[in-house]
Amino acid sequence: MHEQDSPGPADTGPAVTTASGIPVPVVATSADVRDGLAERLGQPGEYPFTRGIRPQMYRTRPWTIRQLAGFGTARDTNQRYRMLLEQGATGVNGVFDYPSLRGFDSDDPGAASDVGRGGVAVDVRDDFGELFDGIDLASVSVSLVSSQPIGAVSHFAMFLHTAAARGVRPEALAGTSQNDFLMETAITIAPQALPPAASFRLECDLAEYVLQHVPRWNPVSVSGYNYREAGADAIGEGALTLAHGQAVARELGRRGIDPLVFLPRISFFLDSHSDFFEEIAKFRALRRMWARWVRDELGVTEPAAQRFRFHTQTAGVTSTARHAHVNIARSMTQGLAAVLGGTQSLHIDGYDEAISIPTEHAARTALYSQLVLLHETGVARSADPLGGSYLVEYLTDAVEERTSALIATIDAMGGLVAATEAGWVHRELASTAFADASALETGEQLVVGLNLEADQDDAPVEPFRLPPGTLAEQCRRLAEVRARRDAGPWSAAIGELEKAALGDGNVIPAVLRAVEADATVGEIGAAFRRAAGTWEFPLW
Amino acid sequence: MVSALAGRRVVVAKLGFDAHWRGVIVVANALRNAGMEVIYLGHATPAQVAATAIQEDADLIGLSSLSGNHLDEAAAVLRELGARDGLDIPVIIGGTIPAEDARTLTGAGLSAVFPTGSSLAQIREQIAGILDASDQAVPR
Repeated sequence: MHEQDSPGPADTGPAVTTASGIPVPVVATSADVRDGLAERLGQPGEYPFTRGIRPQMYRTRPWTIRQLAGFGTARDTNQRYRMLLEQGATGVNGVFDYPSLRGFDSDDPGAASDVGRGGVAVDVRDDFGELFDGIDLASVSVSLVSSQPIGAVSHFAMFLHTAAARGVRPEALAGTSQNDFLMETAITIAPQALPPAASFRLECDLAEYVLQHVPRWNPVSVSGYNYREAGADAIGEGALTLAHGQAVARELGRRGIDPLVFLPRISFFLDSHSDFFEEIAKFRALRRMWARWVRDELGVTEPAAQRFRFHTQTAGVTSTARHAHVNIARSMTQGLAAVLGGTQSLHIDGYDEAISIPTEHAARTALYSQLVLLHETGVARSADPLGGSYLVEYLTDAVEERTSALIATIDAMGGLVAATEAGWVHRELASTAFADASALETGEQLVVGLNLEADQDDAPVEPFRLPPGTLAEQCRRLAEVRARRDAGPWSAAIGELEKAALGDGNVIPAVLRAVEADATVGEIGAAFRRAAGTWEFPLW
Repeated sequence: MVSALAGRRVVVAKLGFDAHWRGVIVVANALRNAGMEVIYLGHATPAQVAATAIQEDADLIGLSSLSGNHLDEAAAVLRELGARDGLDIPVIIGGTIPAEDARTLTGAGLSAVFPTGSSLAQIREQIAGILDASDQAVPR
C-alpha cells in the first residue's frame, strides 16, 4: 500500500486497522490517496457531494438540533417536547413505545409491561392531538420515529388528522416518518411481525401517498443507525443503508413516480460510532456513493435529487452503565464526527443511555453539548474541514470500495427484501455483533467502564422512572373511544382496510378512513396481520 | 467448552414487546460455544417460558430485557414457575437494568442479574456457580 513512501516510521507489530478492518497507515501521505481526488471531491453543494450537500453548509443552515424524546402518555411527552423546544432544540424527534410501533394497542394482553416504555404510548387519534398540543405544526418540523411500517402508517394517518383538525394543510407539514421495513423484520424483534415483502409494501405505500399529498414530508428515513446498533460495522451500516434506499427508489420508480419527485424526499439516518476518522469517512463516502448511483442507474443529473441528506445519532451501543458520566465525552466526540462529516441534524445521547431512557438532566446535558459544538468550537465555520486530509481521503475511498462490494453481494441475492427473507441480514448482523463482543473479551478493543477501569469507584446515576399510570390512562382512553365510536362505519372501515391490504392498490387511503372511523393503532395492525400473515425471525 | 456448562440446558427468551435482540443472541451464542444446549424461544409469554423450561427439564432460564419491562416480566416468570412447582430452576436476566432494580430482582428470587456492560466471562463464571449451587440443592 505504501510502496511509494520513502522509508518513514515503520509499521511494527500486528496490522493496525479501523473498527471495520481497514488497514491504517502510521502516517498517511499522498501515496495513500488514489489519483483523481479532485473529481471525487468536487465542491460542497456539487456532485458528487463528498464535501457536503450545500455550498455554504452550516453558515447558512446549521444542523437541526433534534433530540429524541418519548415516554409515558402523550401529555408526559408533550411536556418534554416543549422543554426541548424552549431550550434550543429546533425540531421535534418523537419516538413511540414498543407496542405502538408494532401495531398493538396498550390494552393488548401481551403489551402491559411495555406501555409507555422506550417511547410514548399512542393508541387513538386523540393521543396525537395531545402529543402536539401547543406546538405549531406549520412551523416546527416533526420527525415521527415510527420505525416499523405497520405502526408508521397509522401514526402518520393520526398525525394528518390532528393537523387537519387544526386547519394546517398537508402541504404545510414538514417532517419525517422513519418507516423502515428492516426495522420490522431484522433489526428489532417482536411477536407476530409482518413478513419482509408485506412490510416493504406498506413502507412504499406510505411513501407513494406522501409524495402525492404531503410534498414536504420525508416518507422514509432509511435507518442505518439501527442496523449499526444491532451489530453491523461501518461497512455493513453503509451497505444496508444504500441498498435499502436503492430498493425504495426502484420500487417507487416501478410505480411510475418521477425520480425528481421521490429522490429529494428519501432521507437517511446514520450512526456516529467511536472510530472517529472511519465515521467521518463513512459519512463522506455514502454521500458520494448515493449521488453516483442516482446519476448512473437512474440517469438523474438534477443536483437537488442527488443529495444524500441524513440525520445522525451518537452510538447508544457504545454507552456504558459504569462510569456513565464518561458517556458525555464519548457522545461529544461522536457528535463532532457527525458534524465534521456534514450531517443535516443531530441527536446526542443522554449519558444515562445504558441505564434508562434519559432523565431531564441527561436530556438537557445532551442538548447543551450540541450548543457547545455549534457555538463554542468553531467547527461549523467551514464546509468539510477535513477534506484533503490524506488519512480521511484514504479512508473515504476504502469505505466506498468495501461498501460497494457488500452492496453487490446483496444485489446478487436478488436485493434487500430477498436477502432479509433468506436470513442473510440477520446472520451478518449477529456475526459482527459477536465479533465485537469477542474483541472486548480478548482486550483487542478497550472500553472504559467495560474492560478498562471497570473496577474503579463510580458516581451513581439516578435512573429515569416512568411516571405511573400510563397503562391505566391508555386503557381508559381506549375503552372510551371504543364506547363512543359508531360501530357501523368502524366495522366497514376495518373490512375495507383488510380488503385493501389483500389487494394490489395503495392501502393508505383505507388507513385514513379507518382513523376517521376511530380505529385504533392495534386494530389497524391486526388487519394487516390477518391479511399478510406473520413470520419468525431467522436469528437462531 | 467450559466444563461446568457443557451439556447443560438453558431456555432463553425475550419478554413483552422488548425489541432488542443483540445482547440475547450474543450471550446465547457464547453459551452454546461454552457447550450449553440453548433453547432460544424468541419472544414468549412468562407462562410459555415456565412451561417450556419444565417440559425440557432445563437447568437454567435466561431472560433478556432492554426496554424497561424487567420488573414486571421477571416477576411474572417466577409466578408462572411457582404455579408449576418449577422454582428449583434458576432464573437469570440480562439487559438495561438499573442497580436498584437488580437488587429488587435478586431479592425476588432471581439467581443473577447481568446489567449492560457485563462481560461474557463474568456471565459464564456466574452461571457455572449457579448451576453448581442448584445441583447441590436439588439432586437431579
